[in-house]
Amino acid sequence: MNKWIYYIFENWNERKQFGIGGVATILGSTLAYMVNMRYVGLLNINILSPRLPFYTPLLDNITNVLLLSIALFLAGLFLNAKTRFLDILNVAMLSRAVLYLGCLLNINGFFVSYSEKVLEQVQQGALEIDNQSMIPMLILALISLVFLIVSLWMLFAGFKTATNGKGTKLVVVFIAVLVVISFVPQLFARYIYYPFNY
Amino acid sequence: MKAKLPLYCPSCHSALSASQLSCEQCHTQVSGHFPLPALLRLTEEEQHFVLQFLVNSGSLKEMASQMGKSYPTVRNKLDDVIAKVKSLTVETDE
Repeated sequence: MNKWIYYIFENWNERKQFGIGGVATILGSTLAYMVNMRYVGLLNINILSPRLPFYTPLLDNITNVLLLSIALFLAGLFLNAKTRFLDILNVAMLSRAVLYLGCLLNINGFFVSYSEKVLEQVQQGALEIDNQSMIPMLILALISLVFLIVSLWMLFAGFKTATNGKGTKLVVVFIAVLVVISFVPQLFARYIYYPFNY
Repeated sequence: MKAKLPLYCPSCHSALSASQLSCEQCHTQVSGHFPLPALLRLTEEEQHFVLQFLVNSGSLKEMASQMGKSYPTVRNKLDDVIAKVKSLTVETDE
């Protein structure tokens, strides 16, 4: 898996990376609209009940990709002055493509129906949640977690290749950037594009 | 088979230097202590990379396309070779 991830960033030229990353962003946004989901935040997907305009997930994704790219680019310049914005942009788009697969978990409202069943039982004060609701929820959560780990792994591998960063300094800068900017896209999504409450 | 230039001592792993040079025409031999230039102390792969860099007039984009690698990979390789040449030059000067 590690070899495959590094292969993308070390061997694909910038046009291929940009093309596939761009197409994945558009497809991921369309898929999110179809299954009524939004990408609020860099690392999470939110399920919504009211239908939103078709461009909302696309705006979410463009914001996420641009913010992530700008923050990682500035951090990349700190690590290596020769870092290029295009390489970082490609890394941001390709790594997020894996997260978009998370939308497939909510086809036909699959994810929503199970999470509602679990929530219902919790609200009714049930001490134990029945396995029929809990097991599918756990499996879905586990699959989402795998997508998230692979996405972060790709982001790190791409950032490392784009900046030629090495050792502890690279890891510290990468984690610091993610922590600092992880809440910013949520502000955009909540207050600028389409205010909503959960 | 083309003999590979040994760069490090097989016994203590220190950098080797040339102690004898000979003329293939008249067989005159010169003995002394001649440290190897930094470029010769690069690995074969690194020397090939430097040659490719020269042949491509220093265009990393051209090199990346020829090698089937991404631009940052080629640039990183160049940065690593530059760092190695710098450290070897310092070693030689000392």
